[in-house]
Amino acid sequence: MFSERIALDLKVNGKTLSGVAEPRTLLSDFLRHNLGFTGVHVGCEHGVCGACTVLLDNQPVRSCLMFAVQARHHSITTIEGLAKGGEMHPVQDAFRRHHGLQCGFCTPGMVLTAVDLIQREPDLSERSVREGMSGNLCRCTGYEGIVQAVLAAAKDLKRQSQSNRTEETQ
Amino acid sequence: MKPAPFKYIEVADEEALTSALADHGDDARLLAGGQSLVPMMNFRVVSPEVVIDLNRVGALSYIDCRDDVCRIGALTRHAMIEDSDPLSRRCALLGQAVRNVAHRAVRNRGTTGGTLALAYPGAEIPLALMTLETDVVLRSKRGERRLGMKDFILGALDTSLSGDEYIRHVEIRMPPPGSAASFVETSRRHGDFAIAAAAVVAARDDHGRLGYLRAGVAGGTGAPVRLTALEEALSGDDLDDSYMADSVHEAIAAIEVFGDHHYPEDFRRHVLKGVLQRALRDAIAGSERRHVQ
Repeated sequence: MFSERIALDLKVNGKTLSGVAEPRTLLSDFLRHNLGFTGVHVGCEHGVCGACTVLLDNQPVRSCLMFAVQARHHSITTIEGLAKGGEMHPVQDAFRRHHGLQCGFCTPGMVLTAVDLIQREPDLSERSVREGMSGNLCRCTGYEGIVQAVLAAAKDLKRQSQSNRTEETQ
Repeated sequence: MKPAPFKYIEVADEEALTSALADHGDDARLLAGGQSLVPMMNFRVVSPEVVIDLNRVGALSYIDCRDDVCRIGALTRHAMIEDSDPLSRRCALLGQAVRNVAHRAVRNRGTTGGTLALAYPGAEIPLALMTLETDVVLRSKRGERRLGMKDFILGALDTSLSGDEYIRHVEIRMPPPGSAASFVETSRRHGDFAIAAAAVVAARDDHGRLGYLRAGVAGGTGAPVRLTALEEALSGDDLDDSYMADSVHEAIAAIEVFGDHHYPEDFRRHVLKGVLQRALRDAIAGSERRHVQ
């Protein structure tokens, strides 16, 4: 049928990267296979498992439910874009400390979902963490470690922003 | 699990959208949030020749509340409704309904127009809009027309949209101030489409009587159903629990309910009664509390 190919410039983790895709190429496949962001894990490919979650203009979306061509006008953050200067993001660090992962397949989606959840609701309860993370499936952990990690990360980030504010006023 | 090839047309304004639809309407699918269309394309349940992407038509993405009417543009994301202060103040039902739609990552993309155009039987927003009084405004090169929800959604996955038309916005008549809302649904997992869902809004008049009552159900019903006979039966003076249970029983017995291999008809009716009764109790009790305040 059609073999139209479109040259794309996508802004990923602050850098503009180029590639060529068919209109039907999913954003998840383009990020993973064309641009090499292998932290984008492709699970169910119909929006249920949450493994391919990326941030689109800072908001979590399923990258398997978008075409790569649609991402031209946005900036994307994958799990590779979270660590700064060799330092893990506080959410990543909390997942490590609280054993929020075993095989690691769901982890990139979990972490990015948690980053957004904590931004929107700084005072999280266990219940709101369970609800907020319920769109991401983990088949190893039983979720205990994940929930503890997100709660701990929320506290860490709150403390961080409070101490930043104190420094600013001093 | 990959879509079949298609021709991609991205439109930037309503004029381009109308002409693209006039040219390709019958062979094309409109891509808004893509949260149902793209999975269906991944499964190849649908393989459109042309996909018209309207995500750049910013003029279709807004929430505009004036007097007793709120207008929601077709490209408004579910998350915008979830986060909207004027809407949650004046129309709590919609805010409650939208929180039952899938998960935040899906609500960041999914749109009002998209869920209406799909008309999935267990979908939450169409139920909320059917229960409140809502008009759907459609547009094509031939002109604009306005339909009530009942004339817009005809059945499961069936609407009045013609091939060359798109949904422009919905216009919702707001419930009276002091109303209380309840949206109750049952699903297998959090975020799934509802097996059965009920939406109720209630408000008291100056004398403390139930002067305003809207009730609807969805799930196994084809199109969502507004239960006007039940509304009439329960309006006015407060009624005892057994009268309410009987009225709910009659209301659910009177509508068409489909069973499937997961949920036979009897089971669905049973669950429909349960969610409806809970939503009625919540909303009626809430309207009492709000009236006393």
